[in-house]
Amino acid sequence: MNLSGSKIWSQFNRIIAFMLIIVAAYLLVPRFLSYTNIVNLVRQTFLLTLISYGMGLSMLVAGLDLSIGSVAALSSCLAATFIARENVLLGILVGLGVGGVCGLVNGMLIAKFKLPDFVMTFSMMFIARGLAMTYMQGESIYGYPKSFIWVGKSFLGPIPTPVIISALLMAVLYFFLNRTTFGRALYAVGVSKEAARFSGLSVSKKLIQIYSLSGLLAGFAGLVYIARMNSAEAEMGVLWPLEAIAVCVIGGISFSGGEGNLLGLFLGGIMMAIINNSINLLGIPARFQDFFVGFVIILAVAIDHYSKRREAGG
Amino acid sequence: MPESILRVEKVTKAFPGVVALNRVDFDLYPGEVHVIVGENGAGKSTLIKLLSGVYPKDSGHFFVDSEPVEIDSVHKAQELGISTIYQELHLVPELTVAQNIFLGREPRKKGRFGLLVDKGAVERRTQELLSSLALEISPHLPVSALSVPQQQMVEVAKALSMEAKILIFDEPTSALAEKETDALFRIIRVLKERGIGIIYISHRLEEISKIGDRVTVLRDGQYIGTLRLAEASINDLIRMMVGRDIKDQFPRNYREPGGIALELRGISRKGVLHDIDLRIHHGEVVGLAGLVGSGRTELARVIFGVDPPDSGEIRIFGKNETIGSPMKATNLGIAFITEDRKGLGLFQALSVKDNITIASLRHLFPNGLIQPSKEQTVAEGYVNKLRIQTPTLTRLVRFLSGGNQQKVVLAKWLATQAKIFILDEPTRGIDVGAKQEIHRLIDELVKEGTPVLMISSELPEILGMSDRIYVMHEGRISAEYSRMEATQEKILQSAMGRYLQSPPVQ
Amino acid sequence: MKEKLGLKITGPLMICIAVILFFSIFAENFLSASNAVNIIRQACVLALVAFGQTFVILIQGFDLSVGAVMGLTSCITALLMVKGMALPLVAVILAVMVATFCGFINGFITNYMGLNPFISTFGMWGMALGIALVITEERVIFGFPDTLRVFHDGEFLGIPLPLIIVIIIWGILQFFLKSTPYGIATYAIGGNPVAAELSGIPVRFQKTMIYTFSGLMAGLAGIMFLARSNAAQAVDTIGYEFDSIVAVVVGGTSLLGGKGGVTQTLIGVLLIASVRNGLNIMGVNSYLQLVFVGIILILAYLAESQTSTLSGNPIQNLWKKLFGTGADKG
Repeated sequence: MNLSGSKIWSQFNRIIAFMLIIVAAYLLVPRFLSYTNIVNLVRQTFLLTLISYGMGLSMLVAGLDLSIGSVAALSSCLAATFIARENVLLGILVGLGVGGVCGLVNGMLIAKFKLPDFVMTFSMMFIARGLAMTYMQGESIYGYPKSFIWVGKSFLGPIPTPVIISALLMAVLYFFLNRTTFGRALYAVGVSKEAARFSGLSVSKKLIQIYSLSGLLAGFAGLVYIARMNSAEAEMGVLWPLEAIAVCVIGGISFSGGEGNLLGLFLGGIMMAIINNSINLLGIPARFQDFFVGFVIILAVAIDHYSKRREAGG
Repeated sequence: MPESILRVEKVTKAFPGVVALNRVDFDLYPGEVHVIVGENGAGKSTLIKLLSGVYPKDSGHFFVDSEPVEIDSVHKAQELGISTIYQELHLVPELTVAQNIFLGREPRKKGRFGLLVDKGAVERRTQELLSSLALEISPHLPVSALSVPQQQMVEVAKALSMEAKILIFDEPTSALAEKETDALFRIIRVLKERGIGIIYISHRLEEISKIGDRVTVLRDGQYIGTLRLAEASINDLIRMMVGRDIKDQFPRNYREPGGIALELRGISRKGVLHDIDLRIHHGEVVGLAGLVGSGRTELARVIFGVDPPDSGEIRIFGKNETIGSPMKATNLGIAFITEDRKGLGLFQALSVKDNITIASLRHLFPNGLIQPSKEQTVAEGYVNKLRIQTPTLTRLVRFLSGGNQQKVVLAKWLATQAKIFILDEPTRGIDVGAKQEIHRLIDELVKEGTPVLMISSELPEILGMSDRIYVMHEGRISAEYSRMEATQEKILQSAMGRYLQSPPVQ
Repeated sequence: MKEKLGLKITGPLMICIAVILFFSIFAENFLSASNAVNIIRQACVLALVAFGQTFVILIQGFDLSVGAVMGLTSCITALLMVKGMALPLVAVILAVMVATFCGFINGFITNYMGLNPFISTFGMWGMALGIALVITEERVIFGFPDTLRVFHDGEFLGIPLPLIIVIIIWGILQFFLKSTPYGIATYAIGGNPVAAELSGIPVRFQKTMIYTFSGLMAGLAGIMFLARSNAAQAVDTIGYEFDSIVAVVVGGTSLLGGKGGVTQTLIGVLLIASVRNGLNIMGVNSYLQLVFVGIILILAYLAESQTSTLSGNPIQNLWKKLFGTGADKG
């Protein structure tokens, strides 16, 4: 892979698949291309990608952050307490801060104590969720000041604000991944931790940075989410890790690290959104999505795995 | 004259880029200990792997008990009665001695569909095996509770339980102390009495005369000769192991070296390095010779901050430094071109350009922002300077030939403006043309005053490229030679721990 | 080496005793006969799942799907009974067959298709949960014959039936692990897969069978769970995957594989069940309990990796790791 080459070319297959899916949806699904549905699709896409940035980053370094949904729940619920009391700025800081701290804990234990990433983030998933549930005691916090709700519900022109926020974030992340030494080192660590170490890069520093960032992004996504829902509950985000993995995997980000880019993640988000949307419009029960997400992950990983094997063995 | 139990006839095995065995002959009689010696890369371990069924041979014949056989799998080798005791033992740590010996072949109780293990039989037979070897190891102990030599014995017992006729020992004494070696030899004598043929690989020339009957010398994949140990002197053996003409010319221009750039004093690391003193001056190539396992790479890893030393000082440009990580080492200007080019030296899935710039990003772009044009220029510069053959800068490095890959690694470190270079087997597995180019590059480096530490197992390369040579043996510096006084024999002798002159120079 | 063995054998037991003591002081009626029986009944469900998990962890694997598979099993059974489509016994058999099949798929994907067990069982978790939610239409299923309740409430000679079942299964598994070649092979596959392969053990096949077994145990646990709650809801059993892994690891079976066993797991199960029960009595809500269990898992993992790779004082090592010289061991 060439890190400063054309991203579009690397996603060529995916773009074709994406176009095929759109054609299929148009043909099979009623009202697919209606205006409201497209707006819906766009919104869903950007929300899905918003959730998935952190997972994507951790997968790029050959890791996995399963705690994103729970961390988002914890940080948003804590943040919501302040926001509902008109302390919007403080609330946002708390939301981001708590997310970042959880991520930092993940990163430190993974980097310094050599805990496998999934053991650590798996545990954090339960710990954060447990703390959130305890804090909320089954209730929800709602009723936020207009200044905050604006983030979730308003439009800038025809475009929903969350979409713009997600797009901006994607642009920032894109910049960091492709134009900075930080991003280059990230890919290097993902491709080979050992080679990175022997090239003088600090692998543990990078891991700590990535997991902290993932936690921060989870906190951020949580804030956007509760702004949209105008309510924070401890049960939010339960499926986020699974959905994020699906988006990343469809988007070509490999579990083995060092492979994939944001464009792919975005395409993965679109395709996931289209599939979910189609399932809805076709009248299939919504909970089928759970099954589908699990199935899609396995399928995408298997395809990825086999094409790698063919490449290597041939 | 008894029949041979094993005969190897004109066997050849090649890997991409190198012929490991070239029409090699070998035979083995029942009850004999036949030693194989040779330098690193002579082909000893390849021969063992062919006999154990790990790789298939390319051509030639194997005969077991004068019957032609094909050894195409590990199981086939076991069926033929060939067992190998490797240095890394294949035992399951948490299972007992008895369970390990009969793993996969447990005797079953009659009836009950043969599903139950006949524990009584397992224990009895294990005890019999252990007693027949006069070993006082309890069959009940988990293998993890045994010492390494004891574990080795268990492997021998396991081989016997598979009715091995031919036992191959691969450097069995490298991890053993002297008393334990005697115990091993006692077992080997017992095996001899039973008519089992033993192939014994070792570097320790003093030992092999104690236990061996005949010895075969391999060199560069060729069969050189076989002698009866009673009639051979160690010097004969060394001459056979080494004797080649230095046909290659090495592009070195020797100059007066400058001041001390890198100095090690008393560097020790438990079990691996003992009290190493070493100096490298500006503008000189210091060769580091020694057998596999003598500690050369380990020493390089200490200097590069991968493994911390237990004691001792490292002085870089006169200043005492603690090098706790490769990051610190690179900041100090130390470059390490590793032995494992593919795994540690390169990012296989990244392009030539990305590989070249990866170590110097901080250097080139101090504010963190990458400028693609500058990156391109820098990478192009090195591709031209080092004559790296690649159609584009964006080509993935995994598609380059070995020689070009190594040049990319060199370019990576040159780009960091490193001030001290450590090269570990820089021309291994590389074609002749590229080898010369790399030697030329090393000379140029040194011309600019950069100190170079070169680890190599190729004696001609060490002799042809070094201003001075240190030889390591079992974690110590066993000798130091200047360019003038060094010869292949002297180096090999020192590598094996034999001091022809005075004890090691400190 | 000896201390490590000592730590593992008595460590969890000591922690278990300490926990029981702790709760006997702070939790009312903790040691009462009725509560003890309560703990045991609850522990039995976990024990069944943990047995399957033990085998998977022994071969260096992970089964994250068990909670969802349990739920799927109980939902299928409940639905079949409620709709009168099958007699209770038949419903049970069918549902457990489905669970076993799920385990088989896990094993196949992991071992024959080469996927990371984490991914495959996590995916299965999603799939099983999804199917369970779809077939129950997200509602609670109840109102079926009481026949199954005996698996929870029943007693034989004064001993709760679940306990008898668990002990019988424990006996069979212990015997299997210690006295059959397949049991020994299990330890070999986990302890030194290369050696196992070289010894002629069909590694991939056996690993797949072990995952299948885990599915089977999840199925049985689902039935016992259904017997206790007498109602089925898809999400009720989520969390058992976590508890089972923690129970196995804390009990002394190594995450690295090749070490441990079902007896150790029983201790771990007792520990987790006691902790849950005690915290319940003390009024700690079930979500905060998750936090405790999560912390226990991290600590257990840390403790194990410290004792198995490093020498010296564990406290010292911890300190060095946290505030070390910046030595990059990454």
